[in-house]
Amino acid sequence: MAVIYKATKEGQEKQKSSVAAQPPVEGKKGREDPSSLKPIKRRKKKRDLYRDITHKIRPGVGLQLEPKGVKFADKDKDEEALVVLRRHPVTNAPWIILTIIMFFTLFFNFHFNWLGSLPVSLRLTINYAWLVLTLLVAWSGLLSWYFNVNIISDKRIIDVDFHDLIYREVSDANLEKIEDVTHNMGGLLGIIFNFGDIYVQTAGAKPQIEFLKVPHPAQVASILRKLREAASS
Amino acid sequence: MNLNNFFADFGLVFLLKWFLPFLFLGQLIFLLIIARQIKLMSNLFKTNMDFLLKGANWLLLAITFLGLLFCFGSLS
Repeated sequence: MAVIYKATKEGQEKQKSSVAAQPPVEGKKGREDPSSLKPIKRRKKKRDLYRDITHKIRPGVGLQLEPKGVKFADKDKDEEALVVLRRHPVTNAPWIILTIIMFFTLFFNFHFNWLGSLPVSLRLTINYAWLVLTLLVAWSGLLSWYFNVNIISDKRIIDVDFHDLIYREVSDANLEKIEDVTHNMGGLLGIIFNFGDIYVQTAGAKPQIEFLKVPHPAQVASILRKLREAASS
Repeated sequence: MNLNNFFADFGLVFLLKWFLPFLFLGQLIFLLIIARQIKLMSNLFKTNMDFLLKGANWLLLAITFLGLLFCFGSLS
């Protein structure tokens, strides 16, 4: 125990002497404490490096670069979202088509008077209920797309899943914890519109984080690999 | 309750008159659940668009509630 104490004391003295040996920082009247300034500068430099990496990708509807006003769970004060990913807009086609069909059904009902045999008040109520149902289909589809989000920040990657408007799942992993990045593209639409899945193996409790049907999967996977290298260097 | 009248009125119109209020009620409950989810989700992920989502949901709630009132008013 005594040996450990000695070693710690020596270390502290050594640290003190090394701090004293450093030259005072110029600018702003030389008031900054060098020990507190260094990590900040290093952090800024790293963030610039991350920005250089992420800005090589082209932003679009499902991929935003450094969006303003984004807040997410457990966000640090100095943490910034570099990339926000959602499913490719084409994946919204099923609910958009369904909504259009439902609207057209309402239009055809008015035009061809399908419910002509029913009393007027009942007919109006049915049409109103159908309209609300159509709006709800569109609304739930839109919300499902909006809240299924993947964030790449300058510290970690976050996967927010929002299933069936009832279930939520959030998983995150530090950039240094990324072990393996795999991406795949499949299907006719995926090839035409360039979207696919990215699987990130991590050393965390949840071994795999998935970015599903995101645009430019190859480029995003490449960015994640570069960010991992930059974070661990 | 006169069961003879109940069965005499039974038909499509009768079924729809009973079904529609429940449909509107279901839609209203669904929208209330979504409003709660939007509020909870904004703790996990929030953007500048958040107020738009909440506004749109309130608008849909109002439309549905009006539908329920209309349903009770016109079908009673």
